[in-house]
Amino acid sequence: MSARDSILAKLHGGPPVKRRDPPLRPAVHGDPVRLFVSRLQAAAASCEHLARLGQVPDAVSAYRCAHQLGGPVAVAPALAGLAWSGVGPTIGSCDENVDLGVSLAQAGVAETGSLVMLSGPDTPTRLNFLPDHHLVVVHTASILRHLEDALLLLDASLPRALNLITGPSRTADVEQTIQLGAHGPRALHVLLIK
Amino acid sequence: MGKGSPRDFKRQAGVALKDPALRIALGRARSGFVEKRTQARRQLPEFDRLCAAATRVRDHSIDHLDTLLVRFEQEVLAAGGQVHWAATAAEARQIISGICSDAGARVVAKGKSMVGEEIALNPALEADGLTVVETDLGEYIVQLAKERPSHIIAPAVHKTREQVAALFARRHEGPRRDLSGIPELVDEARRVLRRAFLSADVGITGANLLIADTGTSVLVTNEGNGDLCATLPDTHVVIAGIDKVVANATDAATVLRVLARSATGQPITAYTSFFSGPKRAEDLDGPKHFHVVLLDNGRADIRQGRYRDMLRCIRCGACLNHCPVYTAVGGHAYGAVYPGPMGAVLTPLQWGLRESRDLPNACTLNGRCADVCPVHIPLPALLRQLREDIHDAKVEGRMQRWLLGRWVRLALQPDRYRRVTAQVAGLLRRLAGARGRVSRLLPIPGWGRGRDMPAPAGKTFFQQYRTPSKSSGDRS
Repeated sequence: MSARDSILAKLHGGPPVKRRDPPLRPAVHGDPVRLFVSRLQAAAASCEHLARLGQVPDAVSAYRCAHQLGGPVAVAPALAGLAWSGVGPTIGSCDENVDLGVSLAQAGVAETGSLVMLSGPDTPTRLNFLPDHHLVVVHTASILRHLEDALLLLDASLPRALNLITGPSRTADVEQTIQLGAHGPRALHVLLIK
Repeated sequence: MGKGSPRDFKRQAGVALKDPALRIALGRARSGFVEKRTQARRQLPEFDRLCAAATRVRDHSIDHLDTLLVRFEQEVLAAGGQVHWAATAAEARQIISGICSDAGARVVAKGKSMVGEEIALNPALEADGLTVVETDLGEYIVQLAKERPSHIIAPAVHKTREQVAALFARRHEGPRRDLSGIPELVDEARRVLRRAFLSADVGITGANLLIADTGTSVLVTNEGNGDLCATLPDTHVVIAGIDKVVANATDAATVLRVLARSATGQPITAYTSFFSGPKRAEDLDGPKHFHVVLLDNGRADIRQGRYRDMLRCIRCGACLNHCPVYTAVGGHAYGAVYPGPMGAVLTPLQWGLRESRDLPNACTLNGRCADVCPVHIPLPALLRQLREDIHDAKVEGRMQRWLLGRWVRLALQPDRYRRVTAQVAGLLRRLAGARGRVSRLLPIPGWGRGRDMPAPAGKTFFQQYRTPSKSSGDRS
């Protein structure tokens, strides 16, 4: 008997039953966008509101200036159509020399302040984790209330990876003291588009 | 790796209590965990009801493991991944060893995985000639120090920053540098481990949950190391216990809401990731090969017995953080992969009662672990049950068994019992003297050494019962 068969033989359960307990979700009061922003900020991310998607390249330039970043910039193909002439980024590919990555979130979750990043040809996953600084574009219209709403995207498109990102990378592994920038980005900056 | 053994718990606990650096490290960490969880709970009015919901989700999973696991397997296969079943730790090691060899791997980057510890994966892969790098900072520290994790979510909680600095200075190349602060330590680890991520051929991570409906492995981290392990190397291997599966994304969300809050007090960790198979044809990145190894290693047997509730465990670590024994002796004293209350239940069940007979006794039955468990595992009741099993299996210590036997015989003879207890009470009172406390209980050397005992009251209950009361003379 294979390991699979012997394990399953021990596990025989009843037929699948429908549970009757009602779904329980924490209340999300008020404007979900406002809650989303406050949760993200509580997780040590910074946020900036922009009126139009077209303003993103300028906002990226301003961020680089403010943080004195001179290194290469990588941008998700989903945002390749913007006027990037002032930044001169590489589109799509991202290696360890890139110090700023710009990506597009599929959605946001107000309950937790999480960005919902789907892997795909236009939204590579490396951009979310390799650079020191991570800038994420998210449309306020895409901000959902609950985790469940975001996870419906799994059923809908089943990407290789769905990353919920809530703030920059951190560790508390030395003396339970929180330190940002463990392995992923040291800083997370979110550009909210009306 | 294999330092200590559950068999030596008493000796190891004694050593731990006298280790000054351990006292400092545990002292610095202890209150943090408890306060953060308390605050997280306070900020979410629905927390207790969400815990009840998570308990129902986990019960449903354990009831239907077979259908859920088969569905999970189907979905992973449909997404282009592979599923492997391992009945034992040795089978799991063999499977992963084979995957690495097929991948022509030289370097393996590992995310933190308690199942990885459970199957002692690293020594097996190293014996194959592979370089295995733990990438979670705490796990990396423990690997460098050739130790094992002392906490299921904070592997290096037993180390002070000074010890970590000394370790890095000794084991990393480079000129003399300032390693006095935590930022410098984290930066140095980031630099060293970045090279490992970029050169790794295989990434191995654990899973906090598996979602049956979509064949998805869920990984909860704060550092982002698990995501780098799952994104950069050509092969991604997920190892998970068969108990980790839940039915669907809604159930996963329910568990996630209480997991991070119970563990670190965060509403959600910085990264919560959902992996479903290898890179798609048009994707620009991601692993070409995706494997899930499902480990039984005793879980199916636990499910059939009286300890079934234990399988609900989501490995948050709250029971460790609130346990007066764990927070006094630390994780290494347990000599097992899983320490603290959850470990004191799991270790005897997985490694045998005889080997682990001291662990269920390392408990004051104060019940805090059950109070804070987000999936309502009745840990003190399970520990008491294990004590009974240990007695029934006749594997407890000879002295303990002899004393219990004497006690039972005495208690079955009421006259003798009254006589002996009256004598012992009188003796203890004389020993206690004016101080009113007995500081050395000579007949019980191990137990008595660390404890004071208050002198017994003036008379035993029966002596008082027989003496006519002065205030009310109406007793017949």
